[in-house]
Amino acid sequence: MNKKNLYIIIAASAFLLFITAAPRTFTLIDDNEFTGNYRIPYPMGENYYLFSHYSSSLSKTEKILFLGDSVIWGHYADTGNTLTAQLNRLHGNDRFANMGIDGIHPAALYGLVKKYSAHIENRDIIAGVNLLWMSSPRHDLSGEINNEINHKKLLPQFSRDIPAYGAGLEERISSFINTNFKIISWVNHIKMSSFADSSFYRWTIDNPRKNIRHFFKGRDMSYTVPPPMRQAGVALQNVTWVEPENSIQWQYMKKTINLLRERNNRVRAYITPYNLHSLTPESRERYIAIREILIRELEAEGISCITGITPKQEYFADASHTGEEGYRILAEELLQNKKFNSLLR
Amino acid sequence: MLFHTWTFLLFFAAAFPLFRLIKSAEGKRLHIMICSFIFYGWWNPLYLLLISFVITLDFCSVYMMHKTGRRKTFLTLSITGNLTMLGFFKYANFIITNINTFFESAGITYALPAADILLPVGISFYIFQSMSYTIDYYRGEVERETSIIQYAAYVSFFPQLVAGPIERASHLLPQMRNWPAAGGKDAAEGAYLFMRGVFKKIALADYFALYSDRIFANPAQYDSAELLLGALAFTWQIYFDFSGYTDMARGIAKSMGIDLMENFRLPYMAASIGEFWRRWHISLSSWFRDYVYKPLGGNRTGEFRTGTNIIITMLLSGLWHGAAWNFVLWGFIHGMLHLAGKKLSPLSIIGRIPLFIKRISVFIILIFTWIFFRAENANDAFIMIERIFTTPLSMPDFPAVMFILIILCYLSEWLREYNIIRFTRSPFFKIAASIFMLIYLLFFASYGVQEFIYFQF
Repeated sequence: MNKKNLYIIIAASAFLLFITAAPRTFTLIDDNEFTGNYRIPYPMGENYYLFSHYSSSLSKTEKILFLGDSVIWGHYADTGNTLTAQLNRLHGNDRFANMGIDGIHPAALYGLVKKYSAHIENRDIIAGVNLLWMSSPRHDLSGEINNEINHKKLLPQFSRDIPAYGAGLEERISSFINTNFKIISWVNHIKMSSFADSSFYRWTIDNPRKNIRHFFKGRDMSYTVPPPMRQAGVALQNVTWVEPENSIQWQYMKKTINLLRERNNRVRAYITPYNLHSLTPESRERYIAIREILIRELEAEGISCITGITPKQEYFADASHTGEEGYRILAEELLQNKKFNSLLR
Repeated sequence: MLFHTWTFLLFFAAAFPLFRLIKSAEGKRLHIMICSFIFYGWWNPLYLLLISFVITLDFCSVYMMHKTGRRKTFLTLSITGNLTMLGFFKYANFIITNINTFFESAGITYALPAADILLPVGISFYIFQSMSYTIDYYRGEVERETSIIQYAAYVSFFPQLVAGPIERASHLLPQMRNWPAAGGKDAAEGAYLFMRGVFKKIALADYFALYSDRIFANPAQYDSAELLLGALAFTWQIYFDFSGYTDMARGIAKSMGIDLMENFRLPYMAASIGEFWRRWHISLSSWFRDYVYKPLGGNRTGEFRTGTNIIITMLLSGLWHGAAWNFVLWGFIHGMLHLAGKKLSPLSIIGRIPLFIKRISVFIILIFTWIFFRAENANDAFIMIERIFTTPLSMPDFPAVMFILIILCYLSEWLREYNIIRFTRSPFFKIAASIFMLIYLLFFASYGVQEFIYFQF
């Protein structure tokens, strides 16, 4: 073997070793800590490597895991006042962990659970079901092509299941590679957790006079709770609900729950509240009817279903999120719910 | 399908193993032709009609030259057909706009309707490549190609189809006829070249573009130093954008056993504008030299005619780059500078100027000429140059990292010109550099896929 081939073999082996080992061993030295109640920091919402690390840590605990979208994550609450934080406070111990991700559609949640939460087995899980996603074909992703989908990388890339997802081939391949090659997720994690911006170049252009040391100090992880979108005085909404049999959200929510159950987790569905005060009587009626259908379907599959109360109008920050006080009320109610309580024994 | 996209990598990952399995040159040519058509049709399947027309026209023209002996007739047919097609797709709107401007200034209210024509990617490149075959055959410099598949593979060879290098039949066709077996060494060399090209494009050109695009978008908003730095950033952007593409093209071809011609030879080390054109986009400048400048008489027809020939050649070269007056102006300026260089070089005072001073001076002149190339229009170019000399110097908001990169790039050109960094040719260096480039790209390069500048030509 000549010298050049030897170099190539050594270099290729070293490189392969690096890309295989680095993402796996990095967690041993990673100093990224989770905030209280394990809520993923807002700027880390698309850091799926961190989420994977997070779910791996949680899989070693006895905590009850709350999985879901921004209602579970707590879009209108600071870390100490989310639903899980309120539960922990009221229950007096740290039994509950917040595995919510802001803005995640159930189809993306399915991708997240499938690819980044494989460690979670034999655990108690509460899966948040938010009917907001069924409030229009656009929200549901069953309508026309929508370019404002969050967490697109987690959607199924090579199926025609989601009509609203209109990415081109290049974006789909890129998303597939991003979510299937751990080295890429790890690189993204380093960029998101240790760099001030995901693009070094863009940062230097935006901050031409700053010392580049600032770039390597990471980004600000604090979260400013947005002001509530008060509904008072606003005309009642006539919502065109997507029927469960046509709903992408519902199809993927069920798939997510079933995937979690296949991993021997004990899953309960928690139908998170909807601001019924903002709906016209017909819409409200339809909402309740759809909710009943979902409950029936879940229970037919042996999935226990918890339906939260609907707090008063003033506790809602928008159509489906409550504010901090609303979470306290929901937590109090949950702790009195028999189905939920059975988990705590 | 751009080279630095996942789509292309997937395409190549499918095409390459199959190519390696094929043993015969004939099979390889057929495979490459099919792959090239898929590659080109990916942009727009209708483009395949155009390239098929060019292939058929030139293949048949040469066949008829051979068959009938009426060489001039069929050469004329080939050139007319090719230039008509190029003129229609590339220059129709330019011509219409200028006619309408003329009408307007003459007080004629009639205006020709604008032609809604999309410029097909790479048309200027493959038409020139195909034309070189008919001209060379006419001159007796190349053998007739008897297989249309072979000829189609030559014209449409996907690594260099859309942005060159513009190959010559005498260089590429013989390689394809006896397609050399590509070994591990070729694959390794090809991978290195490809990686170097990706690095030049994403880590350098696209970064410089972040600054230069902003400046050129609205030059009237900026002052002297920012405008100069914008032009400087573009000077490096275009070099790395185009030479990056060439490196990728050469890397892909190399991995398949084909050597494409060198297109750049440290152009910013030129000591005269004439020398710059022997170092920059060599495949195009040699094309113009062989098929325009020399047939016009070259430098054998007296001083005045030589000057005229240079100006005509450079004007056409400018026009080849784009159907706009700023490109024509850019070509004209280069022609004049080339001519001035020719006139001045015999002077003893010029001979006494140290070479490095000449190189730096030519580099500074080039920065200014690129302004005409990059500006949205000729007016913007003049505004920019005027403001460079009339607005006050102030501290620009220019990223230090970009400045350091530019210094390093220029320094590296000097070191390579003087052969000081010969170790860069060693396999060990190439492997280490490839790994470094890959890691650098992963962590620091910009996101998003940017097109190559030369695709628009």
